[in-house]
Amino acid sequence: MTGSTPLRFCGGLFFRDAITPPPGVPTNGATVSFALVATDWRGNATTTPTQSFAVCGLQSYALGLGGTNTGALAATGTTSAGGTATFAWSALPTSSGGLLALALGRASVPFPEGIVVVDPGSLVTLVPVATDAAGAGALPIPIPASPPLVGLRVAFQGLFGGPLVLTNGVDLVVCP
Amino acid sequence: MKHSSLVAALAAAPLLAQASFNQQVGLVTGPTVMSEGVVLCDVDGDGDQDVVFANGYVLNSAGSAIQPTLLINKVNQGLGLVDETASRLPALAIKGTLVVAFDIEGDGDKDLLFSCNGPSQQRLYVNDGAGVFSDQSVARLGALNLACAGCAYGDVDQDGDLDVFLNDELTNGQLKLFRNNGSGVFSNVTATHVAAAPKTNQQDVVLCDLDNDWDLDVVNIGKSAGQQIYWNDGTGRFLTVTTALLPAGTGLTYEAEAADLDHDGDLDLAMLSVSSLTDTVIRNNLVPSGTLSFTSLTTALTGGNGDDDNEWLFVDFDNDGFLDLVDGSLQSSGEKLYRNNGAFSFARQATGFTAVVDSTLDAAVGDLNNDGVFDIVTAQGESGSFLNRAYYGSGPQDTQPPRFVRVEQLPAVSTRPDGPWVVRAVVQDSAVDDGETSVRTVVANWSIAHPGAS
Repeated sequence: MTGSTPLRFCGGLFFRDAITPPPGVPTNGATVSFALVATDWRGNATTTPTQSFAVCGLQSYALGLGGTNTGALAATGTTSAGGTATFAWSALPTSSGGLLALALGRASVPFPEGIVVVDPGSLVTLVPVATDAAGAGALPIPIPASPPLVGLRVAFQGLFGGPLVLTNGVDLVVCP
Repeated sequence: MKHSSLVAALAAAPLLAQASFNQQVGLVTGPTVMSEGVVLCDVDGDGDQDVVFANGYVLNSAGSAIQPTLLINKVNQGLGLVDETASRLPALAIKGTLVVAFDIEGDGDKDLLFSCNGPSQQRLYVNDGAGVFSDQSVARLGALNLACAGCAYGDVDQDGDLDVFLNDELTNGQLKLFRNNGSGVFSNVTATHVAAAPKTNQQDVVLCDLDNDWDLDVVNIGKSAGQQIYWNDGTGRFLTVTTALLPAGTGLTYEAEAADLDHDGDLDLAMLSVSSLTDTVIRNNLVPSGTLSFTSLTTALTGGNGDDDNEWLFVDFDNDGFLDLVDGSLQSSGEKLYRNNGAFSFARQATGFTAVVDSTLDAAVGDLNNDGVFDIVTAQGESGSFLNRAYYGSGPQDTQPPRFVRVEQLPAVSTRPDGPWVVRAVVQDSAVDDGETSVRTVVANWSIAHPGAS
C-alpha cells in the first residue's frame, strides 16, 4: 500500500512528522520505503532519494472480531536472535487449559466455534498453556541465536476451553 | 537608423536604472509611526501575503505604545496593500519590538506573537481563520510584564506544537522558554528547562539545529559581549550554554540569521556588528570536519561593511540556487544586497536597492505581487520619517526548488511494526527570515511492501 504524510514545520527550517501505518495494515516483515517532496510557494519541487527500512518484531492483528474471539493476546520483548518474546493472554475463562497455536502465517478461517487467525496449513505446533484465577497467563519464548531465522514469521493465537474462547493473533518476525 | 537607436536607448534606459529591489512609492500604507518589526504572512487565507508591522516608540522604557498595523494584500486587485488594522486587530496600543506569525493551536491559520519592551505585557493575537484577531495574551501567555526585543517559535520538545522563546532586554536578562500545551496555552518552563545564563540587552533569538543532532538549538544575540548558544538536549531542555563558539559581539550586536549558505549540509550564520559596526558571516565547520566550530569571516562581506545595520534576511535574488544576503541598514547608503558566490564570498551589488535614506530596523521577504519574484518590505524607526517601504524584486522568477539541507537517515531495521516512524528534515528555500523559509509543504510519500507480494 502507499500513502502520504505531510511533515509539520517546526520552526528554524526544521520539518518533522511520523509515518504511521493505518490500523489493521500488516506491516511486520514488510519493507517501508519513502521519499520526501518539498514544494515552495511557486510550485518548484524537489524530491529526496528513496530510503527503505525493514520492519520486524511483534504485531497484534485480528483485533475486535467478536463472537468467541474475545480473548486477548499480546507480546513484548525482543525478537532478534538470542532475545526473548513474552506472550501474555487475558480476558479468558479462569483456571482453564488451552493451546497456543504457532503457524508460519496469518489467516482468517471461520469455524462454527470462532475464527482461526493462524494459517492451519502451516501449523508448526500447539503449545499447552493455562490461565490463572484471573483468566490470564504468560509464556516467555526464547528466540534461537540462529542467523538463518532472521526474517522468519511465526503467527500465534490462543485457544482456551470451557467454553471455547479464542484470542486475537500476534505475529512475530525475527529481527537481525 | 537614428530613430531606431533612440528607441533602443529609451527601451534600455529603465533596465539600466533598475535596481534588483525597486521601491514602490505609496504601496505601503498605514500610519507613519515607529515600526521595529515586520512579517509577511497570509492572515486571511486568500493565498497572498499580507503585512503586519510591530509598532511602538521602543528605544527606551518610557516610549509610547502604538497599535500594530495590518495591511491586507490586494495588489492583484489593483488596490495595493490596504490598511485594515481597524477592523482586524484589537484596538490596543502596545510596545512592539518584533512580530512573528505561526499557528499556536493547530487550527490552520497564522496567529501573531508580538514581543514588546517596556516592561509591558507580551502580546498574542489569535486569528479567527478569516484574518480577524483577538487579544488572548493573558489567557494564553499569562501576565507577562517583560522587556523583550525579540522572540522566536519552534517545536523544541518535538511534541507536535510550537513553543516560544522570549528574550530579555534588561541588564543581566534571562532568556525565557514557554511551552505550548498543544491548545495554544503556554507555560513558563524557564526555571526547569533553560540554563540560568544572564545576558544584558538581548536583541534576537534564532532557533536552528547548529550541531546536526535533530533538535532546535537557540542562538541568543544581544548588545553585550558573549553571544550565547543554548543546546537542546533533544527533549526541549536547554541546560547547557556556551559563549565560546561565536564572536563575542559588541554593544551594537542586534541580529543573527541562520541557513546553509554554502550547501555543505550544516547551518551557517550571519551576524551584525561583531566588531564595532563590522558585520560578519560565520561558517559552520561541522561538515565535513565532524567537529562543531565556527569561523567568522568579516572580510567575506565586501562593500559597505561597517555601516550601522539592524537586520539580516536571505533571498536568492538572482535565482542561482544560493541564498544572497539582505542587510537592512540605518545608514544613508540604504539597504544592502550581497550576492553569494556559493563559496563564502558575498559581494555587495551596486544596484541592489533603490537608494533610499531611511532607518531600517527590520525587513521581511515574500512575493507581494505574485509575479514569482521575491519582494521586500522594511520597517522604519529610530529616526527619519518612519515611512515603511516596499521594494519589488526585478530579477528572474524563482525557479529554484527547495533544498534539503539534511534528511535524517533512518536505521535499516525498525522493530516497531505499528510505527510511528519519525521522519525529520532541514529544508530551506529561496527566502529565509527569522527561521521561516518559503517552503509550502514537505510530504513523505511512502509505500509498504511485503516480500513476494506483487
